[in-house]
Amino acid sequence: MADNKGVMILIETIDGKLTNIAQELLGAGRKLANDLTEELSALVVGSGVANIAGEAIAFGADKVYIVDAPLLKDYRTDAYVSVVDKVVKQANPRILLMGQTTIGRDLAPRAACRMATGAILDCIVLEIEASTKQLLMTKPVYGGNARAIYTMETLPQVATVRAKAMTALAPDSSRKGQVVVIDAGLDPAAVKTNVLQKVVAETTGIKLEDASVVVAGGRGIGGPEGFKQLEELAKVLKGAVGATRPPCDAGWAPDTIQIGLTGKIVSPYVYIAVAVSGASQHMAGCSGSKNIIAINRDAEAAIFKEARFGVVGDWKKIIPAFEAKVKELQSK
Amino acid sequence: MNMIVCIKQVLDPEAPLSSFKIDPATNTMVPVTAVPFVISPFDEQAVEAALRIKDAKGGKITIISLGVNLLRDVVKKPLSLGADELILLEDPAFIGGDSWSTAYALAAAIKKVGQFDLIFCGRQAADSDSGQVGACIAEILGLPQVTVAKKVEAVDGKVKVDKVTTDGYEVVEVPTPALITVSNELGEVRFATFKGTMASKKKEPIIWKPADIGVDPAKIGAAGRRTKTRKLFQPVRDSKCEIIKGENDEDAAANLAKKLVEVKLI
Amino acid sequence: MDFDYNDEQKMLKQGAREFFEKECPKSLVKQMMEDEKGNPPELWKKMAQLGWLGLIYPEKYGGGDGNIIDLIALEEEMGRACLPGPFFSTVLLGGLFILHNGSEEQKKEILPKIASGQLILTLALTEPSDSYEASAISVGAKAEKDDYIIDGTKLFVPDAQIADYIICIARTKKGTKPEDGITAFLVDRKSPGITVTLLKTLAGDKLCEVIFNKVKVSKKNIIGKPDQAWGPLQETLQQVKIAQCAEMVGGAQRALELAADHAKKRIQFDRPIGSFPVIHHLIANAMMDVDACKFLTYEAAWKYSEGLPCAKEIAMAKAWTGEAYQRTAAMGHQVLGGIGYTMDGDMHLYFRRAKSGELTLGDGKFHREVLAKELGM
Repeated sequence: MADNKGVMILIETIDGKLTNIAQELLGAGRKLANDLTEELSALVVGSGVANIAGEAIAFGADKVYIVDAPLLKDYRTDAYVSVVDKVVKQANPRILLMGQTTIGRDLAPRAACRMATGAILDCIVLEIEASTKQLLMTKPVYGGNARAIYTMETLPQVATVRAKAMTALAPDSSRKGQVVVIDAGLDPAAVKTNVLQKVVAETTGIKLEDASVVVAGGRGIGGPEGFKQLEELAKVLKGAVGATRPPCDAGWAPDTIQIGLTGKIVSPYVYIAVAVSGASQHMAGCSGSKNIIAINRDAEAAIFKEARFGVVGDWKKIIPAFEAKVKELQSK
Repeated sequence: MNMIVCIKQVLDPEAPLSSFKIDPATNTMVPVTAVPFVISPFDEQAVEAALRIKDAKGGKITIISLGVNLLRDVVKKPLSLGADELILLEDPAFIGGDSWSTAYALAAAIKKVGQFDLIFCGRQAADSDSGQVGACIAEILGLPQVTVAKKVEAVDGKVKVDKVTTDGYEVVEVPTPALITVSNELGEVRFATFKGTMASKKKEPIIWKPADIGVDPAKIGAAGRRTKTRKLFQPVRDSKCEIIKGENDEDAAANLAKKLVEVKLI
Repeated sequence: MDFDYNDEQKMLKQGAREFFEKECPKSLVKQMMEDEKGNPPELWKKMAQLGWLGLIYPEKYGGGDGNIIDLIALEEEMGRACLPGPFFSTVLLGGLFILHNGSEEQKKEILPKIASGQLILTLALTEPSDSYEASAISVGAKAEKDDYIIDGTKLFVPDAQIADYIICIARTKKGTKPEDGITAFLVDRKSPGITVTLLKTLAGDKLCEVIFNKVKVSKKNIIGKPDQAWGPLQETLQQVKIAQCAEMVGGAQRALELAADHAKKRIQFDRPIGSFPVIHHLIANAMMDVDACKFLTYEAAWKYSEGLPCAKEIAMAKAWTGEAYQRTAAMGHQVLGGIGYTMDGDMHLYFRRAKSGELTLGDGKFHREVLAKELGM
């Protein structure tokens, strides 16, 4: 335990490139490693992923561990936990970070458990405590109503990090680093998951996470027809439509546009919350927005405490009139 | 199908924020006015997932809940919906833990329950939001896991699960026994019928203490924590909202459009 | 003394609260006030599926074998939700009357259909004199071979416009006392000679004028003993009143909550209005009023469930609750100020229901007379 050193990032790739969150993690990891005066390494797990090493180094890694095997092509819990366990035993990092992604939220707790350590998921702030060299991990709790700071004495300290919570470094292709290939050493019989099918929801238009304008509907929309109105407005504003949890649970909007603590995290320039109460669960997903506009018939709704501008009234009357005026002003 | 569902009693997460304050001594949120207790919402979905399999394939559902001051009219709710048995790990030694020490105790209880095909957990608890107990139980018991499920189907010694992903979902299959964590995308939970509610009167909860499930006292509850809570705080919100008015809703809407264009937001 | 519901009743109550929050939003309530039928079919069906319509009936008639305390746990939540629809008329007024007085055949014919949501029933009692005294029954039923001919006007008959059957309380004989000679008839609403006119009421509840113009009814359709319906009817009404009080308790509780919540949040004169002593006292008065209603109702229900005499307790509960609910809603309007005055707000829903609850089945004055008689005056 005494010789655990360095920060390791499990990085995910998409179409042969680092995902946004991987870049952000490397940025965060770089700072932590600097604060510790220790190394930053990246762990790449997959099939046909070896050539990501250069990009990982450019974004801040000093060393890249590659575990490449056909069995690792799709994420499967048993395979990835086994690989992480093996690499960590070899590399002995002080800190292991992953994105709070489909993979991270499944892998981190189990891998931590296997390694007889703990994990903290969905961190939004990571800091080294100078006196102890311990990692201070801050995450939202109580549905986003509060923040908790955690530490652990077991090593490695495992954490997953929320998307857009950290900042990527500008890539520097002149950076040099070491590449270490590790054999996966997997027993296929031990990998119990069978991936049968991958279904990607159809997104027409702008992707929610990338939109600079988001129009989100809440419980007050009352039904699927209301969301069609919001789609129209989003189109006019060249944005995307989102929803809080209740409309998704009720089937008025697809689950993939649910914004919130357990849904999508968005940080657009403009976030128009229509008939949204402003519960913390939802705000956790959109509080990074630069400007929140609230429309709600309840003057005391929590959303008005988060918004920059607001209108108190019936969205059914407000949205069409708003859209019409916007179109009018746009045409000038 | 023998199924086990782990549920946690929490303070109602829907209660207004003003009902709570932070207790720095325990680093927990405590109520300042009467706040009702409920079952953590994702755990209710875990119960629903098990009930749907019981509807389709028959079987037995055992509910396990760890805590203290477990209100019977809260934790018995799954019985009124169709679950068969309720086991309470009700002892101060069990509480104050983190995901690891809680999962350790739950796993020991599950071992004592005996044969099972599926374990269901909510994806994360409404208070801690830590999201790990399920995976830790699966690791301790050496079971395959599928997390963040929106649909679960039992299929001959296996379970087929629609697992939520960023862009949609994946359909995966694991052999049973297995552990599944459930997310709200599963859909709405059912309401209890009157008969179901009254029938739960006959199902008395079974209470297990640490000695009953053979756990190492150093590994449960607060004693068994791997993580430490340093601080609990509330972020300060101090934004000032400008309410745009008008003669009526339509007029206010038009004024809002004008304002947003004026400040170059659109 | 345990004044609380048991665990199962608490689960029933909480489940009902969540159900109505989802299925019976105030927007639906307001819509139903204008609607001619006033009974959203999906909601009625779901309540049937949950076993709530048959809750109080024995299992052998398709019911849930519930007792009156189970019923009032549910009623409180119905009051909180301002539930529209014919629960009062069908399940309680009509259904309980048949349960207690009908023949085995009538019970088997009617009650399972009520429990499954397939039958709407009501009971026509009051007449244009709008009195609950036996002497007010003037609608006559004249024997003619194997039938009776009913003639006269009933007023304020709940849900007659959607009812499949109307139980008509009619005078068949002139006895020595006004209570004698009254008979209950189960009448098919589609019988020739019946005219139903829906009234526009203050609470949006569906009350009707029902004119019986020489309506022929078979004597087989008499419920209970001919000429002796009044006593049994009053017995049934005792149980109905308890349920009605519970509904009002739920509404009053909610009106109080809305007022208190608003007082805590509303800032005027640089402070929450709830920080002013005047508001403290208004809220405290309402708290005492609401608890008084609650415990009078609970006591009446408990005694009824134990088979103990409870005419006094029921009279007190009815007299007090009808008036206390109104005081609470009026206080609610005061505290809510301008916003409480608008139709967009919800307080007026409670205010209206408080008035209608007071008047239905005898107001405070009526029941004070009952109380005085209990003390031998």
